[in-house]
Amino acid sequence: MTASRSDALLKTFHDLFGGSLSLSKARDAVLADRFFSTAIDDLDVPARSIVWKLFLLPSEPLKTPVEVDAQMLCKTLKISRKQYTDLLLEKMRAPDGGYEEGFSLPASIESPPKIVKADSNLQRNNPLSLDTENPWKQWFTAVELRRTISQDVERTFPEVEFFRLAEVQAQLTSILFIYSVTHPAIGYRQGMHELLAPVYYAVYNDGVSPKQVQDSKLVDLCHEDWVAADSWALFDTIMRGVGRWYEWQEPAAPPKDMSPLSHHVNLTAEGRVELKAYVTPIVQTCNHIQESMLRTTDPHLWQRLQSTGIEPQIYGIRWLRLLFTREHSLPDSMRLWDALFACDISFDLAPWIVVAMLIRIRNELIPADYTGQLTVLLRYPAPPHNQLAPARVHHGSLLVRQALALQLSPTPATGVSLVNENWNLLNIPMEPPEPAPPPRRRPAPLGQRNQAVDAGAGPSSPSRPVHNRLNSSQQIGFTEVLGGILERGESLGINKSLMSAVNELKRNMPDISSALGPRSPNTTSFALSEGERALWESRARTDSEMERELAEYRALNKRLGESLTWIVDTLLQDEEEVPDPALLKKKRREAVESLAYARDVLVSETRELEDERLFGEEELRERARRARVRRPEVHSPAIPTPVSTVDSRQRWGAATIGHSQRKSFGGLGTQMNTRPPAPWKTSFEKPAISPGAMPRPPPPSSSVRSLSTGSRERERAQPAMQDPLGALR
Amino acid sequence: MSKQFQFKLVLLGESAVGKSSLVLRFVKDQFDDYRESTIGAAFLTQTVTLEHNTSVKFEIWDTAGQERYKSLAPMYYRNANCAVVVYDITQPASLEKARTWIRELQRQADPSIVIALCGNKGDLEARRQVSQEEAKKYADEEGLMWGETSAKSGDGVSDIFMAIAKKLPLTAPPPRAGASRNTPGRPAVDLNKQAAGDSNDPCAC
Repeated sequence: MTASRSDALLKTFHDLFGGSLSLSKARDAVLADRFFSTAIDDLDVPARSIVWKLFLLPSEPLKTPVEVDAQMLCKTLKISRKQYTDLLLEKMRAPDGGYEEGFSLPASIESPPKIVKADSNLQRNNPLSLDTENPWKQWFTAVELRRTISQDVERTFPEVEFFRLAEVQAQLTSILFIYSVTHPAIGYRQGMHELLAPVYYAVYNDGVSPKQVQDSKLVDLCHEDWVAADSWALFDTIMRGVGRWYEWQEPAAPPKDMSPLSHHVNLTAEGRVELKAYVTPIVQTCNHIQESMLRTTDPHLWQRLQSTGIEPQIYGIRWLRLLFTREHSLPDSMRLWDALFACDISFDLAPWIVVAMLIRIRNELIPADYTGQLTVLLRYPAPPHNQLAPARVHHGSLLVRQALALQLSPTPATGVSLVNENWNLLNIPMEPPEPAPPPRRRPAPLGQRNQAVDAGAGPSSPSRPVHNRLNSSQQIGFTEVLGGILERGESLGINKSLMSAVNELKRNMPDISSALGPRSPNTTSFALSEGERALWESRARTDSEMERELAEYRALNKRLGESLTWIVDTLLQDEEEVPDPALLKKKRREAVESLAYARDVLVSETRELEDERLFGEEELRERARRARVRRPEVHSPAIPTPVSTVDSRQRWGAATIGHSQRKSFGGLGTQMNTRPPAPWKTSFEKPAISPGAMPRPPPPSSSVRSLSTGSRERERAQPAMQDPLGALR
Repeated sequence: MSKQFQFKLVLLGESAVGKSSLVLRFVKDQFDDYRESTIGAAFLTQTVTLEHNTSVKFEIWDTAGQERYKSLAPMYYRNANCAVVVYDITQPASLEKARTWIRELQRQADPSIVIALCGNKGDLEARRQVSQEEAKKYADEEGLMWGETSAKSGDGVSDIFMAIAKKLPLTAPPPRAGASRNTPGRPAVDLNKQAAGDSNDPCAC
């Protein structure tokens, strides 16, 4: 250890134990990235292992430490070090009482004494005996286990030189061996080695000898002789939470008369189908993450994963078992661990981190097809390089804070606040990339796009996949989502988010006219200014396109507004006042379809509108009639329509509008609904619910919330909680 | 006009026989002395070109080798069109494990699945413990394709994948990979599958 490093270690040690720092303050500081002074992407963080020991190692039972106490920690460590030594002595001993060559105990130079065992029955106790009681059988199993473990240990973090050292590999193997023989129900599984390795790395780096450091307490805490024992203690604690995701039990042997095919479904004597009950805990957790946790916090993303048929265990197994070390670089993973250990050693938070990680890459996932989604999930994109506040916010610890927010308030509003936060802090666009509009930017030829997927599919693709990969399935997205909306009750969440977006749109209408062009996801680098920033505000753009885009957006907003007016009118129509309930039902269905389309337009940032999908059949006819009266002819170039496979437009096949109207935003905008407003309308324009009656906004998910725009989040969040129409249930 | 076919391929075999290295060599023509062990599975794609303007796109599921993860394997080989079962020519036990996998595939997988038995680490000839004759005989008995490879030197790697591509039934349109997503209890939207397939088709130019 270099002098500067031991100085840094000593300094942090004094920061931690010198003053009157309480444990909860230490936890808060680590969680908020305020504790370690080293560069944020540094792998080697002095005193990290001390902090981990403090957070992870259980103190005396029934005593919750309020003060950070080095004395108590030393005591705990002393106990665990003795335990580890005893276990080594016991579990590594061959049946003849000896030890394998090279075996050594921590903190002792001479090799352990050969203990002559009482059992000297050579009939039974010799390596070649066939006696079933032969203790050598167990020994050979143990040797085999160590071989299996070292096979994985040898290839731990291939890119980190430290793990190629023979001494390190031997220690890692011993620790894993001791763990697996003391937890026979779990044993050794691939992946554990990668959980242990970062722990060992941190403890090893902080290891000191009495010659280097004068402070006896620090030497006690970090003695280099006890690196393996302390790593074992930390690993054991981590596995208490993570071990459940390694559990697996052999399914009960099927009855002999069963065909080998019916492993999953058993036909009983009565011919009833019985489902096997046992599902691996990891699969249960994964299913719960996607089917419940993600669904309640980001219904749109859930819907997309659902429609492509992504099975959550495909990504969840690795993410959870390794605590995200393969999804992030090693320094980033350890940052994430710092924050995770600080706030939750039960590891119940880890599934929420999975959700936060899914939400972070939703822009990549939502427009992608099955292959694209898999590629992103199994090769988690690297964080964007242009972080806004790299010195203050680490994207890894931010995930932990976001997971805490989700855990505290699992609602779509919290999901939205995460998207907001990712935009503010990491500059991740709030919407998935729009498909390139055909006239202006030509999408890459399909062949090339496939190549992009292939290239990204390599086992070690460091760069963040580019957005243009995925634009093939935009229109598919709509039809599926539409199908989903009509079929499933869970569409509620989506529609709520739409309503919130719509409300926001309405509120921002005056701003838009004075604001700049649309925020484009392709221009992503800008400096963060302090204070409030409106959703639609964008970085300065000077090109001449701006004016045109603005006009287009204005027209588009107006069209959407008209559509929503019609939708709301339709949905709020009283059933009793309508002569034909069947017709009303049909209209409502149309209204919901149009609503989904409007949502899709808003989400995809597209500027192409298909009028016929904004209104119902009857309304379209009415509008066409009015248009003919006012303006006999509107000519605009016909845009090739993406063919929707569930064609919601066939119902207006008789109508002759469509092509002539499409894309004529400004023109048709003039014939805004001339009918008298519906009776409810005046009251709806004001907030239907007083702010006091609103659900609480989600808790802040980040300590750097001052950067984000609180009021904007509330605007988004609150309407998302209400369903003013009541018609969507 | 060129034709592209898409197939789902799954790699199975004992831990550390070189499944991931084999795929890395096939997909990126690279080799690392140390490869981190696969947890769960990895997913990659690679397209090979055959004669007559025909190309075959493999969607490759590279699974974890550890015995205990076997319970998860059916998820990966379900609806697979082809499987490469890998053993290590220096480890006789790995051939035994390969036999277990093959039996499981013959019992549980799609009956039309094309199975190739692949002896890897051919560069370690000096340490060979599994003879070519023994492996070939077993493959013939079971009606499997067989080949030896070295992911390290690259020998035989593309050959085995090309041989599989040629053996796959290219006469009838193969099931799109989308079909593999139709897991029970999760009704897939037909139109989606269709469209997803189209988007992968490069001949739409």
